[in-house]
Amino acid sequence: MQATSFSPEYLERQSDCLTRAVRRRNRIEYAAAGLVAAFFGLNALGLFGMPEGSAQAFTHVAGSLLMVAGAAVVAWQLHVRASATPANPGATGTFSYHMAALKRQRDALRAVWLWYVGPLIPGFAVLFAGAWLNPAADKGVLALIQAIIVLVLAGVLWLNRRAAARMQREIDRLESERE
Amino acid sequence: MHHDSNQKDQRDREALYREASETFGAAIARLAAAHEANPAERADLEQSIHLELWRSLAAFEGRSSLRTWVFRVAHNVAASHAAAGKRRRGLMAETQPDDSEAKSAEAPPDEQVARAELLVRLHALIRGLRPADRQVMLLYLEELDAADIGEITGLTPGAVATRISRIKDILKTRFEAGKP
Repeated sequence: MQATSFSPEYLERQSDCLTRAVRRRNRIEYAAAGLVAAFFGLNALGLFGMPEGSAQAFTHVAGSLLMVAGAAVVAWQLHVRASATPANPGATGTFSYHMAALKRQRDALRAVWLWYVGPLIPGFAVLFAGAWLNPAADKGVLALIQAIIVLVLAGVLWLNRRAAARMQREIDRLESERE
Repeated sequence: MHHDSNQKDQRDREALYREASETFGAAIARLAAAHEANPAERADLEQSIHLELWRSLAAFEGRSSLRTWVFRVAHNVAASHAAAGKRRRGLMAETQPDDSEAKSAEAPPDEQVARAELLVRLHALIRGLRPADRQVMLLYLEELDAADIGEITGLTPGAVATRISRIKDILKTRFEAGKP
């Protein structure tokens, strides 16, 4: 079997590339959260229009500010998770490493809803409520759009839960085989 | 002063990596071949293992032997690679199997073909095992004993011995049934 050899200099360059790629991906995610926050911040100031009527104006401003806060929570979560130091693969036994990877994936599947979708729900809910206050809005279309959004979110939640349960079964099986 | 210390650390890491690569490079290549049938994926996995080995050696303090460290890195990276590949492709790669690893210039052509087919089949059988079983079997095929395999995997030597016996039965049954 022919082994491929790599020079330390080449590997160091590859390592730098990998580090830069991770940083770039993180920056893109922060920028996306920043764009959402900026859009709804400007929306709260009425830059894209302000509905008439005090109740509608209130839901417009409050919903937009909640979206800004939600985007900030999502960005903070991205930062917390990006800062976590992964285990050194040389210092960890393969069994524990595999278990830790499964647990991390399980937790990510459970948390994605809570930390990446959950923070935006209050803002969406208030903005949707405001849309119902608009007398000119077509209530049928509004109900249909909101029902689709709720169904899609529920579907994502169900799929994530199912995948997390599958991970848990694999973790339980590995635990039982440890000895 | 701090700069000198960093340079020394870097030189130490380079020396360690060269030693690890020279001593265990062939074992890493065999591991990659056992995990990936596709030559491009195999080369990618081999490079990933070397890359992670290089990165990980910055934290190597000699608490375990270099061999244990290298095998842990190799198997951990291979398991992550397999999991990522499975997610990417929806199933383990079984396309374009490459039998060049089994051919040797010294062996007669018929023997070469037989060896190549046997090795490809063995690798396919091993790829069909669960990740933890696959790791134990590949370490066993590297002629490591139960204690060494236990240190690398984190299993007790007794659990390793039991597992090896069980995996051999599984492989035997599947081999006789003619399926990977």
